[in-house]
Amino acid sequence: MTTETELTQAPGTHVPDTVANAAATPDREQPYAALGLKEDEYLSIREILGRRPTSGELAMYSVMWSEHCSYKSSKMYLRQFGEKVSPTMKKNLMVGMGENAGVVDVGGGWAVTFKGESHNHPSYIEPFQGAATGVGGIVRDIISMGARPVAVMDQLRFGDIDADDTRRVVDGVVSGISFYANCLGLPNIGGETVFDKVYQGNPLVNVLSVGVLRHEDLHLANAKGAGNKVVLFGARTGGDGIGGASILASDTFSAGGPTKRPSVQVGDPFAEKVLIECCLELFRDELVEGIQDLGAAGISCATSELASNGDGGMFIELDKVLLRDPTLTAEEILMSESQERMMAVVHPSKLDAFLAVVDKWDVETSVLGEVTDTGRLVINWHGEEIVNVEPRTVAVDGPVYERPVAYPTWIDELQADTARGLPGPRPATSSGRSSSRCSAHRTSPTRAGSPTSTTRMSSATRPCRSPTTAA
Amino acid sequence: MRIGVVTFPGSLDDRDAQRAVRLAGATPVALWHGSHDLEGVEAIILPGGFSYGDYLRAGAIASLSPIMTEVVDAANKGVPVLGICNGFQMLAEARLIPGAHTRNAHQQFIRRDQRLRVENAATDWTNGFEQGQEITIPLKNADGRFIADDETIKRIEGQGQVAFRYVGVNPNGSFDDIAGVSNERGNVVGLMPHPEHATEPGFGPDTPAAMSSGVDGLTFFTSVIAASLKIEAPVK
Repeated sequence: MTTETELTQAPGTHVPDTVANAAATPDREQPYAALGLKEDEYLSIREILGRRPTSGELAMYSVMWSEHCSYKSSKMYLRQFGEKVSPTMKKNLMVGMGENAGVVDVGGGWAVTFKGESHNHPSYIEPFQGAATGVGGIVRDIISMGARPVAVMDQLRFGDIDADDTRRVVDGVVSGISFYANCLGLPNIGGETVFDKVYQGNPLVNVLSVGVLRHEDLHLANAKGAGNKVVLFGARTGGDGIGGASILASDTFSAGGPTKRPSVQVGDPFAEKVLIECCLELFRDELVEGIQDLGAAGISCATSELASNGDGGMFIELDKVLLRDPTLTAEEILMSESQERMMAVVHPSKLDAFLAVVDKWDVETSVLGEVTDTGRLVINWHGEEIVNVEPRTVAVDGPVYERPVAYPTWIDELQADTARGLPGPRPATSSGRSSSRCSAHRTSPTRAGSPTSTTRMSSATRPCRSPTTAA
Repeated sequence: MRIGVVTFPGSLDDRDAQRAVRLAGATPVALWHGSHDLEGVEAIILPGGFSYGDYLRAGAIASLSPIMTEVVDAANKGVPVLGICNGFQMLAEARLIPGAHTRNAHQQFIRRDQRLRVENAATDWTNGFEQGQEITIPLKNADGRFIADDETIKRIEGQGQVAFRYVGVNPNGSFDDIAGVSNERGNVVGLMPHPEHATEPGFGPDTPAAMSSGVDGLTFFTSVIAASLKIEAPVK
């Protein structure tokens, strides 16, 4: 921990684009398209900043405005889960949408927190690590609420059971989930698995974690109180999951050093287990104002979200980040998705006690900066300002799209094609025995097998789906 | 009676072991691996889990933790020590009991409610059982295969150091169906199954009488309380 200077990046190996430089060179071509941004999105970033973004800012916006992080295409639908919740449904809801995990009051002063998340594409590319790190991410969300994780569940969809590649994905995903969760002492208490060719090449890997906490132990992640320290702790930052940032680095700067890095992160459940105990002890001893986990978009996400949820300002010295790979550039550090990392906001008077707890658990730590009241997220690299943005524009006010949608007409036929259409041994008159949720929509309790025994539903009555096709 | 439960980085069943101690009527004392202080406890439990992530070899790094110096000294002076699962592996790595552990023969993690036969009811942790009694204790491991060279097996079989044997199914390919062993003196016992998970009705293995009602594991902890009455003074 004292070797910080050797292991953080040696100055001079990479000169990032500064804010001053960006202002002075407005016409520099930037690889926004290669980073997944559309031209209008890039232009709106320029408009927000009143200048071109630095390469570091471009890295942050591109990753935070990606579909993966911002849900820009699905937000308008997902939002309805919040809007359509009635007061009765909210009766026992302690924390709803917008936080790291939902929290429900279960009585007796106890609460339960849930977090479910998909890790689909990574689990197809590298099934074991993709699924394992999926568990790691949701467990850190549970910890950041102040809860102790107690169990996991999974909901899995794989391709055709007879297809050549399915075995690779199934074995890897199942071992990845069980390996990671077991090492944390979390039993897998249930789940479901479906094989269907529609998931060929695109498996769905949803994992849920459950945590338990006392009401008074509930914490929300935000950066409040100017002068409070921002501390990064846990595993070191490496080159995991920064495929995009390497485009930036190689485009803007001379070649040299590795640019091709693994796009799937590698998990270390032992580091996570130690983090669980460390965070719970920090909460118990009231040494932190808030803790935010680092997942997708890493430091870009954690700093901009913490600042957006708090007083709005933060100052970070990025060269203080402890690195696993000293050749990482500033842009790569901002985007790295290295696992088992957490960011805490700590009152200066409690910093020594905080560091003592973290040290006890042999967790590496570096103080990166502090909360400010400037309303700006400012990030320096070896003394030079490389990011200066309003955090909400990165974390909250990203683009939202209303994509064109069309009703898939083929689905009516599929929905109508249920087992009820098959001739069977069931007595023809006992319509009461078909207890499907769809029974209310049936026109009449006619004989099974009759062409009128299923009703073609309009999209308005869509919620009732045949169990054989629900996916 | 005060019984210490050592927490290592990566321990998972330390709290369960503390609870079992409490249920048996003793006082659990949380001990930290990085300390050199046994806090005057009269018996010690090395709990299950993944100390140091099972990196290098299961139990290998933890067996060199600072507190293990004191644990080894105490064990050699006759203080009862119980190693459960990962704790069993630490005892083997620390050479407090004979033998070693490898990956299960079938290469898979296994969890089951396991039948065991008590082969030595004279140790500090088994004196509440009848010799030859069959009990059911939950088991969960991936590196639980007990092995030793022929000579060692012959010796521990001859000296009654085999404390427990798997009955019905050998879940991991352990030599001679050995589930648990003791040192010669009988104060140090290690086993792969988890007695702390069978101490409370509603949370134990199923029995013919009722679901989850098995509490065979409680006898480990009541045994050591009985054994402690013969110890004259706590260590340190």
